[in-house]
Amino acid sequence: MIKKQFILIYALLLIAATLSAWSLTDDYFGNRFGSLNARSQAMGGTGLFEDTRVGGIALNPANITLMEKWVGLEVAGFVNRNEDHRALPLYNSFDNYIDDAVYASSINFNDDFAGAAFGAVKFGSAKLGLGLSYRPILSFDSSYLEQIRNNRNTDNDTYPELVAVNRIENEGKLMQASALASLGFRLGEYADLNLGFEFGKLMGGSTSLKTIRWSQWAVETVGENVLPEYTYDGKVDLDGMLLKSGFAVRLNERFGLAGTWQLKSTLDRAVDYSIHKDAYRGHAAIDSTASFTEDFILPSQFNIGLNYQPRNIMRTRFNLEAEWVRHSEISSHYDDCLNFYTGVEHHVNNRLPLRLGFQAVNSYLRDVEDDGAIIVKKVLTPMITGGSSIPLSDNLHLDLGLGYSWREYEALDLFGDTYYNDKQYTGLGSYKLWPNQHIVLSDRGWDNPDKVRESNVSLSASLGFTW
Amino acid sequence: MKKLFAILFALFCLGFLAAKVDLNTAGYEELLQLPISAKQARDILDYRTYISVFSDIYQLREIPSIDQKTLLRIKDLAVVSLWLEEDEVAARRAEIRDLLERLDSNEGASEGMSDVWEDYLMTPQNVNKMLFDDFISLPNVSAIDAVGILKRTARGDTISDMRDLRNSPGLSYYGYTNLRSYVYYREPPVKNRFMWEAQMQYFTSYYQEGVHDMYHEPFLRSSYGNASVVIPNRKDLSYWGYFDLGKLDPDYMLKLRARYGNHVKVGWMYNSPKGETDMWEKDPGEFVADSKFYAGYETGSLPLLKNTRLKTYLGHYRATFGEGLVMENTDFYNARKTGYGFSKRILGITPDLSRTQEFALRGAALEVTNPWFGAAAWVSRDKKDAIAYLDRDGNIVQESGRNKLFSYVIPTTRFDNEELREAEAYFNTEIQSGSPYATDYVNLAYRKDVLNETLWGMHLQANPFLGTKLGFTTYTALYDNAFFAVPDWNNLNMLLVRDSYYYPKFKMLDAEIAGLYSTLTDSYARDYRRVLGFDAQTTISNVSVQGEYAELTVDGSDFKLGDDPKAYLVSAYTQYDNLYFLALYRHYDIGFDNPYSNSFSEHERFTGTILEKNIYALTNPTLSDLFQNSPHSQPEKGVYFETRYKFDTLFTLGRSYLDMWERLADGRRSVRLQTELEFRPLFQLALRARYKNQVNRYSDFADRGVSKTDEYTFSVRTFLSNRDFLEFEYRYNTVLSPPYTSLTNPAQPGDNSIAGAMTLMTGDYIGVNYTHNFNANLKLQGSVIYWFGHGISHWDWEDMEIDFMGDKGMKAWVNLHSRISKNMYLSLKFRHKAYETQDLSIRKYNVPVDGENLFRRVERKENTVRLSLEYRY
Repeated sequence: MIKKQFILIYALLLIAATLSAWSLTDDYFGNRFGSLNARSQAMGGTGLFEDTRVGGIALNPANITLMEKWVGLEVAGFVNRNEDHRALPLYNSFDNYIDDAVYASSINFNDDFAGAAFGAVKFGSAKLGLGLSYRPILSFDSSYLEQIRNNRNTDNDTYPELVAVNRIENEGKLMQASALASLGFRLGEYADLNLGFEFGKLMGGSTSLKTIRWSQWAVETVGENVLPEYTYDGKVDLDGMLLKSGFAVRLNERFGLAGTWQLKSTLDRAVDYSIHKDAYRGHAAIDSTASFTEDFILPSQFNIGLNYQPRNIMRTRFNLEAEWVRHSEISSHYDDCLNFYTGVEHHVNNRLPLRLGFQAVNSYLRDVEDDGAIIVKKVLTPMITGGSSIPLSDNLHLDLGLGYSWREYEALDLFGDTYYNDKQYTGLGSYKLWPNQHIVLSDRGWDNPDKVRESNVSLSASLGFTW
Repeated sequence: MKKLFAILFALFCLGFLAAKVDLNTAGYEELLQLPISAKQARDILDYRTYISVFSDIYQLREIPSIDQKTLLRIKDLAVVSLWLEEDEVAARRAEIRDLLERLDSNEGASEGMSDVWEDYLMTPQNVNKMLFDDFISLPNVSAIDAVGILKRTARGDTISDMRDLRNSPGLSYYGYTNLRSYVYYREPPVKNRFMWEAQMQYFTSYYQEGVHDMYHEPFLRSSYGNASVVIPNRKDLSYWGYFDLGKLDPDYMLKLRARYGNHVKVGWMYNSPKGETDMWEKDPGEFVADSKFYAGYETGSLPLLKNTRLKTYLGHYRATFGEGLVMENTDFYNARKTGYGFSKRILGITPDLSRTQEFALRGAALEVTNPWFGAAAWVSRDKKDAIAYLDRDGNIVQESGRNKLFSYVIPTTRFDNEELREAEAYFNTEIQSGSPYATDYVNLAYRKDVLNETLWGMHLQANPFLGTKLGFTTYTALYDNAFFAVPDWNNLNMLLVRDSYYYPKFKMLDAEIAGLYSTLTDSYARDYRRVLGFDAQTTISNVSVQGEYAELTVDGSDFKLGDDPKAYLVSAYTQYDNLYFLALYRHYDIGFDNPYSNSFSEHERFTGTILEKNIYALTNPTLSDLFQNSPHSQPEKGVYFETRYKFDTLFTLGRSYLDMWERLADGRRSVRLQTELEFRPLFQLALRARYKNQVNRYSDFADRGVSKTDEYTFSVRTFLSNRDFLEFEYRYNTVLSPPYTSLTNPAQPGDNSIAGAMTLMTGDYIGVNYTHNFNANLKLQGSVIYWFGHGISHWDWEDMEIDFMGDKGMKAWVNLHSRISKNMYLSLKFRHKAYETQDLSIRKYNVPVDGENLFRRVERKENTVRLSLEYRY
């Protein structure tokens, strides 16, 4: 029986390891990973007060001594499927604005793993615990493909000609490796106080590639060496550290209270990039490279959570947590955000738990205009979660978590339309690539942005041992 | 010697018993004295702490680590003491939990009333001291039921228990089953004590289709119709784009209530709908203004006045009297609100933490009631939202130093005034840039808190006989900073319609809009609105007759009846154990514009007017809010019949009604019939067939407005074990209507075809509903529906809300109800809906297409989540 379950985990990790790429949205801030612990994920990402799973120490270091265990080890794997739909703003014949005409869809997969371990010793009514954790906190992976086609033949229900292909390929992560310590004081039969500290090293980076390649048809229509191709190649390195403190108090057999305070982290963001654009009529080729280093801020955040374990006909645990993220520390463009998380665990059938949760997390989409102005947009991502657990033995658990999240927001067109105006390359008074001369190829700004609809399905599995 | 032996044996037994470990009281160390492992001891302790106290020793087997051998080993060494947790509130809540759930699920329909009913469920009223209005304010309790009980108590009879209540002559079975949970007889199940309740709701909603279209309507220059002109094609020329209304933005609601028995009550509620500023970004004054709160005192024992009740409230309250013609303040409309069955009014003054914002009353209210008389008085001062006249700079037009207003309005989104002004200035730049308009700027728009309203009102009631009452209700709303000015029908089109090209869209029905009340006219100027009316009710045998007459003072005398716009309603109701029958007649004049009325009608005000049908023609599309959120009845007159008849043990004619009415503004006559037959051969199985038919303008087949709708629904409902429920439903409907000639046969040279026939649209719908109870504390509900409407809208009553579904699509939802503890409830609902609508062709290359074809739109997807957390203590 156990063997089969190990095969399942192994297969899961193997699948996860072969997949990559994620949402396009946050190429500056990245996509934030929640907890990779499957129990935590299934309970809406809660886990500030976590006395059953080792992965909880990555959320709150005070959980090390909150757990009435001496040694713990956990590994977790995670896979995410992202769907990204971008819709053009259009008017219909009633001159009504519609924003659900999707012109580009992408499906991406992303995977990662995390691990945590701890050991604890007891001195009278005090307890000392030390731990280690490793986990990704931001992902920069994304992949995007867009075909530019002209609008000939659409009336006849056939595909119009392919003009160009646009691609974006981003890869990278910000990882966190932390040393953790916790001090616990037993105050009574269901009462203890735990204080934890975390020192984390943050490291990672990303690469990004953005290209515009003309189609064979376009080149043949206009002629060789007329249309310039475009390549942006960038590399970002991130380096810094993180400090966090936390507490977890068991007030009685029913209630627990926990909180963390993570200090603002200023990372070094070293950027190297190159832009290449072929020469075209009257314009020399562009080959520019640049390097600079800037600050990259992870804002401070306060988390507070309640754990409630009532008497119920099925063993029940309930978590409710709030998170205050001080985005205003990045700059005055940003507002502080309140996120919340909630989850419940019911042992419907003896030791088989049913876990459900919900979270509503805000993030920011950042865009730098040509004139250097920064536009930021707050984006809400709700997620519903569920999961269960398989007890492999008294000390060994396999947890499974499933989450579905979605977000809808405005974003700038990723590739401005003026680039495909062949008149600027041919010098002619009329289009060659756009047989219908009605087309107006102009870049759309924030007055007419894309509507983006994303959804994510994420699956996590964690295997934990405690003693 | 024998006696001594017996005493010694008894002492031996007691000693033996005393040495045993009590599983319900033993600590960890004590449990370890049993021949069990440390883990097993911990498991026993955990079971007792987190699952259940032990009722017998065999319950140990529910603990996974305790096997049969262990149980047998410790069986003789352990005892289970009797353990009773004295918590009358928890006991009462367990007793009424089904009813509480039902009230919660009806919250959408009975906005704000659930709180009052929940309080009465928890702390019931003494059936022997209740008054007539107390009874008829409860769900499914009729006036005839009330009289049946009151006749007994008036004779000095005391109803001593539930069975005694059942034996009250005249009390119907339905009345009895619904009433019994709201009353007590000798001793209340819960003594006076402090109780409180906290509630949080988080809801990522989408706008309904009408509102969605309203906000999408762009402000475009008038020359866009010219094929040589490239229209701006900019998203930010609509409210939708300007305010980014497509992003996910949740509604959330926080509510706190506390009370001591049914005497002292306080409450606070904050509701933040989609698109509005978050509560933590508001300044304190704004936060208080947008919150709802109350503090109140109620008592039934006044000195010198026997059986007289006093209610007094400060803060927000509801006032409801008669049939809701003079006063029933709410922002929410319910079609066919008869005042019977579940479609009830709670009469009198009640605290208000509902989502009602515009027609909320904030101030002080007092009510005294007695078996013989009743009196209530209230005063309110609040700032109200209104549609205001604007000049080209976005300033409110002034008349004699006051704001010139068009009407009260319930805006879908309460934008802040400054951000609205900025948006309108932005829109103005576009509409001024085209060819001249009749109105080339935003001339009317909603403004938040622009109207200072001071309102006072009173209700006097005499109850000369049991079940008979005569009432007088009046209120006056004073406006010290504003005039309402509404042009007559002949001039209204220039105000509401953007371009003279669209003036033909302005029809006779729009006289409803011209019927809005003006305080400033050519003949008078005043600073108030006054409504007064009379209501009466009497019960003879098993027939109850009730009605209300109301007048809005316009240019007539306050005290002369019939010289001003009026509204009246009269209904008669009779019941038997297996049958009830209701007949109702209503008439509401077009000029009866009473913002505080909420009476029976088939449609809400402005249905079918330019505010609903031709939003694109309006000078400001958000004027459509007047229709979208109207809580008022459409001016109509007509007769309505309703019945339910269980004529056989296997067959029931379910709630069925026939309504025949005339829309007064344009004289359209309609008839609507719905009937339902249920066949229940077994308790576990019910088969239902429902037929619905509506014909509009049935009396005038020469008119192109004739339409006929038929809907057939068949369902199989199975009631499974453990209260699980499974239902299959199929619906088929047809709409026969005149074709839209403007779309099917464009009037072009050479195109001489005319609309020669009716068009028939057909649609269907198939759905499955399932409820599964894992146990008493965990329930899962779910539903999957597929529909194909061909232009017909379907509706679906979900667990807590009505969902309207256009054209073609599929949706699925699940709702998990978890009772986390005896005090705490969680429900989490997720819905996925994917659908598409038909639309005319999308513009090609930003210019209109030649000829217009119907295209299927790109599929729309919506994910909705609703989280509700509640703690009751």
